[in-house]
Amino acid sequence: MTPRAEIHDLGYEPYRGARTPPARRFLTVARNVFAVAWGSRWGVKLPFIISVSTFVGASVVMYVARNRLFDMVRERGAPIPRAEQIIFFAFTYGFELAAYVLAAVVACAAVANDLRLGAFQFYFSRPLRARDYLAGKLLGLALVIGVPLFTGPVLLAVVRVCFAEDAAQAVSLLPVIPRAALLGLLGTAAFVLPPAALGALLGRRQPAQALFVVYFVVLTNAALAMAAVLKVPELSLLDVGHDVQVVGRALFGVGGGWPNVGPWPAAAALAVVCALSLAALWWRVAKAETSELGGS
Amino acid sequence: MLLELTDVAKRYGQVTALRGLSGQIGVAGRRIGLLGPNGAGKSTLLKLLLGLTPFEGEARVLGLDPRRDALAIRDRVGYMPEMESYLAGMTAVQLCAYAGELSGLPRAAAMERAHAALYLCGLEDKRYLKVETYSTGMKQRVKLAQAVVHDPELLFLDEPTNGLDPAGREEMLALIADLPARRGVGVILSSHLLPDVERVCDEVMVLAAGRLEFTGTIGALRGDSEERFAVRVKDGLDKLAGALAAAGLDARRDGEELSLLLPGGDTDAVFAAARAAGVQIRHLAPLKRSLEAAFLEKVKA
Repeated sequence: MTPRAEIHDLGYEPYRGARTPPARRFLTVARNVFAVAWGSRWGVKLPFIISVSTFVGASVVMYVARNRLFDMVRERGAPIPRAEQIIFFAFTYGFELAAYVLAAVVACAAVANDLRLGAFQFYFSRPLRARDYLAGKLLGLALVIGVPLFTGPVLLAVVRVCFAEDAAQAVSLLPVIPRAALLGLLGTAAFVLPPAALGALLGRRQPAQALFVVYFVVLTNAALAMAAVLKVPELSLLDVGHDVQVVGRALFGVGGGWPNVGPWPAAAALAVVCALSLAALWWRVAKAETSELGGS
Repeated sequence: MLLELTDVAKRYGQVTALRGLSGQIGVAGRRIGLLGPNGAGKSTLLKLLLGLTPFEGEARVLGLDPRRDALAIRDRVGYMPEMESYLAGMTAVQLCAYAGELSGLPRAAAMERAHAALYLCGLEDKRYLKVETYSTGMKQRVKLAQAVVHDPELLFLDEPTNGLDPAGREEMLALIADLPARRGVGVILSSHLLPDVERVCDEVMVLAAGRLEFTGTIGALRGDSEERFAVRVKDGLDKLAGALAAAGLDARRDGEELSLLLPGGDTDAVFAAARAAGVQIRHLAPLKRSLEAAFLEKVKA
C-alpha cells in the first residue's frame, strides 16, 4: 500500500476545563491594575527611582545614626533623631513624594479611564460584580502605591532591626516593624482612596489629576497657613498628608509638626475622608453596573 | 432553545420600557435578529437577560434564570457592545486574554484563546498593537474577539457593523454568519440595519414600543407563501382581475400588479384566465415582500 500524506483538520476545541470561581476574579483585576501601571512610562518608574533612592539613603543615614557619638550629643539636648526615627523622615520626605506622583498618575486614572473608554460594559457583561471590580481596583492601586508607602518603611524597619548591635537590642527594636506597617497602611489608604474617588466622580483623568494636584499643592498649604494664622489647629485636619504625618510622629515618638492636633483626631479625620471616598466610589461603580451597558 | 420569555415587563418609574414579552426564541435557528426602532427596548432586554436589571415575569437564557443565575449566564454568554469599549494601554491580545481571565479561564488558556479569537476575527497581524491606535473597523473586530474568547454558548451582538466600510461590513457579516458552525455558538444580533439581519439571521424578534410584535423566521415575517403570487401584465390588469374572480380565485390589485392566492401553487388557472381575458402575462412569480415593508408593518401595528 502506498503511504499517503493526510491533512487532519483538528478544528477548534472549546475550553472545557474548570473555571476560576467568580469570588476570586477581583485578583485578576488587581493584577491588571498593577501590570498596566508598571507598563506605563515615567509616571511609575520615577516614583520607583525615588523610592529606591530614599531606601538606600535612609539605610545609610540609619547606619551612621546608630554611632554612640550621636547618642552622647543627643543626651546633651541636640535635636538629632534616633536611628529608627529616620524611618518616619524617610516616609515623609521620600516615600510620600513617590506616592504623591503615583496617586496623581495611576490612582486618579484607575476608574476615570474605565468610565471614559466605556470599559464598564466590558467588565459588567462578564461574571464580575461591582464589589469584585472595586475590590480589584483598590487592591491593585494599593499594591502600586504600597510599594513606596508600605514596603519602603517596613523594609527600613527590618534594616533597622538588622543594624542592632546585639540580640537584646534587636528584640527591643522589633515593635518598629508593626509601627512602620501601620504607618504604611494609613498612608496607602490616604493616597489610594481620595484620588480614585476624584477620578470616579469626575469621570475623566485630567480634571481629576488637576484637582488632586490643586488639593495637595494649594488647598492643603492654605489650610495649614489658616490654621497658623487663625490659631485653629483643627483646620490642619483638612490636609490628609499632614494627618498621616501626625499619626506617624506619634508612632515614632517624633515631636513637632505644628499644627499638631494629636494622633486620634488625625486618624479620625483620615478615616472620615477614606470612608467618604469609598462611598463615592461604590456609588459610581454600582450605578455603572446597571446603567453603562447598552447603546441606543 | 436560546431564550424563553413569559410575560416579561420592565418599568422605570412611570415609564414602561418592556411590556408582556412572551415567546420562545432560538427554536428554528441559532442566528436571531433583534429588530426594533430606537427606544424599542432592545438594550433593556439585553440588560435584563444578562441579569443586570430587575424585571417582572419569567425569563430563561440557555435554561438559566437571570435573577438567580446572573453570573452563570454571563459565564456562558458573550457580549459585543455597540459603544466603544476598551481598556487604556492594552494591546488587543492583552485585552482579550484579560477578558478570558475575567470570564474564569486560567491564565494560560486565556492567552491561548485570545490568540485564536483574534485570528478568527482577522486581527492576527495587529494583535500586539494598542487598541486605542486601532481604526473603527479594527475596534469592531476586537470587540467581537473579546466577546468570543471565553467560548460562550450565546453571543449578544449590538450593532456589530456600526462604522464599517462596505467591505468591512461584508467581512463582519460573513464572520457572524459562520460563527454557529465554527464555534457552535448561538447569535442574537441587535441591529437597525435590516439587510444585515436578513443576510445573517434565521429568526427575528421585532420589538416596538416595548412590545414583542413578532417572533419567528424571516420568511414568516415577510409573509412568504408558496401560494401567494404576483402577476403583472402588458395591458388590462382589471380585465384579468375580473377573469380570475370569475374563475373563483382571490385576486387583489396592488399598484401595477395583482396579488393572487393560488391554492397548491397551481398556475394553470392564471394562464386560462389570461387567455379568456385576452391579456398578455409579463410576470408571474411567488410574492415576496421586502423585510423592510414587513418590519414597518409590524412596527406601525
